[in-house]
Amino acid sequence: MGVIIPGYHIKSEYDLEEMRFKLRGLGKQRALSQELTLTSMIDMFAVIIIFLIQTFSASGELVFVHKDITLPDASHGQLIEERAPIITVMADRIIIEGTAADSNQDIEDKVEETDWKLPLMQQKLNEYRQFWETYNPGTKFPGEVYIQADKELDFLYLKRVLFTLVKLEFTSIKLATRGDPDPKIYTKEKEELSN
Amino acid sequence: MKIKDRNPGVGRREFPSNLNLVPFIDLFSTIIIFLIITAVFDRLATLEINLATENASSITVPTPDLKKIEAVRKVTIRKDSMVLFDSGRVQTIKKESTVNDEGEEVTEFNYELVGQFMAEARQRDPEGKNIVVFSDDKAIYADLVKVLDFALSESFTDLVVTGNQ
Repeated sequence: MGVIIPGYHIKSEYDLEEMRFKLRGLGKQRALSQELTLTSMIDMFAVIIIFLIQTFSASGELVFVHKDITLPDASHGQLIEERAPIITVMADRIIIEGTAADSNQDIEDKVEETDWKLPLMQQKLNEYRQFWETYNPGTKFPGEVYIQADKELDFLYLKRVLFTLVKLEFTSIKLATRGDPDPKIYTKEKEELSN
Repeated sequence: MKIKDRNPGVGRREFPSNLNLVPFIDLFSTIIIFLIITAVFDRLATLEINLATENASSITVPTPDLKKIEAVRKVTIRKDSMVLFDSGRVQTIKKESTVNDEGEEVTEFNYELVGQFMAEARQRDPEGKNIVVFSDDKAIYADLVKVLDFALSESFTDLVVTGNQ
């Protein structure tokens, strides 16, 4: 009995007949390299770029919102164009430019006007004013300030800050809100003033 | 019909049929990275307010910079109600329970009425600029901002905020 060369005989339970066929070099040969279709990718890139350009702000962020604060929404606000001190009013404390200024605790008991003084805030704002006047000699101090507070906060807390601000002649008070600015209103106002 | 080439193989250059997209994609990727880094998704704006020296109940002390304003239009905001006043016309709005877009029950003012009031006030006084907003100690800040926003929507740009002492 001569020696017989065995053929393909291993057959598993899950036999891939087509694969076996291909491995033996039979059947149609496909090209291994295929071109990636880039059209859809470029379309997607273009859409993302258009969206990001629309949301792009060249002025950057001039007001940083405190992490514990949710600003109220407004749709007719003014664009933030200039840098000014930011006062954060919270139920327990007042923060100026990121540093704690005064406490707001037991505010309910502070009914007298004399109790409303915020000495640290006054000191910080006076320092800012002196700094501004040193660098802008001969120019009237604009007294600009931004206030940010949580939308659920009682007006009482704000009132205390406003009281101190006016005493210090910070009269251009701006309330920070969330939402796109509405340039139409203020452009009309500026035109009227220039006329 | 097959067109016969007069001079086969003479003066013919092969041009690449596909546009080279690699530099194009590189440029796009760079722009996207730059724009994502500099993107500002939370847009902020400000509402400029004035503080009144109108009467003794003003929250402020008199300073030369503050102006006296005659209150033709006045809105009084309290925690649960709001009184709108315009040239003798008075309207009271109370907070109502409503269901918001997220299906939660919230208690808030019917701001459509505030909008209507402002629009009517504008019709009565087309040249008017100022509006006085008196806010009670317990009034919610968001309500104050909302009223100021509605006033601005009708171009009442001189917003005077007062409170009780």
